[in-house]
Amino acid sequence: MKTINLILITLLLVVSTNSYSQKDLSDYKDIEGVYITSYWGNINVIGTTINKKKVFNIEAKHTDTSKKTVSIDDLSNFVSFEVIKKKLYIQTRKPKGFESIDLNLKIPENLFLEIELLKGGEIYAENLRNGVEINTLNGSVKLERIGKYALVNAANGEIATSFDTIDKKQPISLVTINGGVTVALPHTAKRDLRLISRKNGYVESDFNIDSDKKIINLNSKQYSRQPIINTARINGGGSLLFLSTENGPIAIKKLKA
Amino acid sequence: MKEDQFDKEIMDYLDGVTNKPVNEEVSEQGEELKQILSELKGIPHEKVSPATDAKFYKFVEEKNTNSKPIIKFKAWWPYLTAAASIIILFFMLTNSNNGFEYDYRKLRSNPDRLGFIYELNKQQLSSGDISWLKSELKNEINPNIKVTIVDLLANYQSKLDNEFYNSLKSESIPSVQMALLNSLESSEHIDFSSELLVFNQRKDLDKTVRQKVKYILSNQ
Amino acid sequence: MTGLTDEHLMTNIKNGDTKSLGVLYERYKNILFTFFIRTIQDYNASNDLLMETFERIYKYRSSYSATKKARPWIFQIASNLSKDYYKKWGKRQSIDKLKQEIIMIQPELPDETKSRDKLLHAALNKLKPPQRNIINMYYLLEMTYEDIAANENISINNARIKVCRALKNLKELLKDSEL
Repeated sequence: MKTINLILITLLLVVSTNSYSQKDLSDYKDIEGVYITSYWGNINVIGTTINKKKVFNIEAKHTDTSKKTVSIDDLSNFVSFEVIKKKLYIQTRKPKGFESIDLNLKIPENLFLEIELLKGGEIYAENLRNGVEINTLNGSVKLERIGKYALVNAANGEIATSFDTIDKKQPISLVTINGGVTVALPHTAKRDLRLISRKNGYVESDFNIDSDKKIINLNSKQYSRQPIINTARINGGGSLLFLSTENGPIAIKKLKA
Repeated sequence: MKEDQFDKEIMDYLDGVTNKPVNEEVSEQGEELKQILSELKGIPHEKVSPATDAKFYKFVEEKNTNSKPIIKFKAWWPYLTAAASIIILFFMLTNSNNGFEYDYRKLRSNPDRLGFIYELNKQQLSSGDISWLKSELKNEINPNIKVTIVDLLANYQSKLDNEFYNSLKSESIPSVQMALLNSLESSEHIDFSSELLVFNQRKDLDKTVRQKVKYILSNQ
Repeated sequence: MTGLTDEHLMTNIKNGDTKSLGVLYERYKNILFTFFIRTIQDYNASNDLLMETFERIYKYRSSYSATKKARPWIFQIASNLSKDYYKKWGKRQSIDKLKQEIIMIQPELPDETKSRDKLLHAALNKLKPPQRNIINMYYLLEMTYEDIAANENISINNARIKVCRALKNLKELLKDSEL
């Protein structure tokens, strides 16, 4: 009896706190990329191939100015969807006050992803094979198991990315103002490096770096007051890996084989 | 008066074709629109880039090569040689950019353009190259590409002037603003204090950017 | 050669004379480029459309009738290209522009930096593309109402009204930006 009560209470709790509104996106066929524009709110995107059936849906949660989370009865009042030339544009409405809209998406892993977060929020994306482009203002960006390339621009927030495959012809550029920049690459990755950390930074690398001039505080984890600006190579060099921060460390890691 | 009729009378007034007396409202609106038209016509026209000219003349050359009888071709030969000389002279004078802009304009994707810009670090850029890169900085939307352009141009400090740093005025992306400010900081020959003071008044400036501006001002 | 009328040049071009095409190009390239930039607001695409205009002038030269004026025929090609471009890319463009405007977070640029030209450009950019197209045909290409009407497949009267409405909207946008 006690167990049943416990289960019932848990279920009630789940239902009452679950204020995500959902929409199935699988009707959008023949899409090559997803373009998300939002203002305030967290954005999570997971690339999917569940049993070879590519799942494609979106959940949204709304938090109003008083920080009260409310359920969204009708997603279309908050988020618009438009397809133009095989690109699915998902845009949240202009915020009223400090309202935020969190988005959780599951999209086929082969789709290209672009995110523009115009005010702030945390961005997380995982398992996307065809490259990612992100422009955000306030909040960190975390990308895991990304393929091909990434261009990430942030202002206040760290950037952490890991690539399980990269396109040797495509550059990777991770730029922020406040926050560290971390990238994890396959151990065979060949890259030309452009490393910029203007203050309170150091460079940490699992790779052997062949640099034009000595890299200050390389692998020492000691914050440098001097700007670190270097052009270098790993594994003989190749396409560009541009890592830049005004304030924070840079780390280049090898993915575990 | 119905709107269509009203608009028709305004256009009659504007085009100077009206014979009957015009009511005050029509003439007032007509004068305002005349003024705007005159200002529009005063805006200077854009100039086509040398790269597009090159593309056009290449197209013309291809058409010439594919066109018919040799005997006809021979008759035009002196004119063609003269035209070719003028074109070569034109490009020598105006288009000393080693074709970088032309190749760049063919690229469509952001990563391709970014990679191309970065590779220019390995080249010696001409004044023409620096010129199109400066205008590309204004036209480009992607912030990562913009930062790469500023990073590239920082190697040519002596060719960067106040006009280049004026891009700050229309720049709203904090990382690009910081890149420009960092480049300005290392410039020894630019005095940008008054412009920075104006820039610093913007309400939308990121806190770190504002700190940088104040730092540069205090050291100038 | 450079003193020849447009119609004479087009007659030469109909006979395969590419030199006349070159003269026509030099004569019209800047105004057409300006038209594209002010209509579709994409620098790269404007260069492409300019090229495509002259490729089409050459390709379809046999369809040009020497009894008609060459200028409206050329401008019709350009205007159709810009409309086709907007149909394909326009909404995406407007999203990019929207993003740019939003990212700018209404910056408070000091008054002294706003020149009248910039205000005019900004106001033109805010017009809806069909109105922008019509205004540019009217003041920039100086097309007649007949030509505009033929281009837009409307009556001459309608063309005049559309030009008027576009100008009035532009006036309102300018007033808003001056506040």
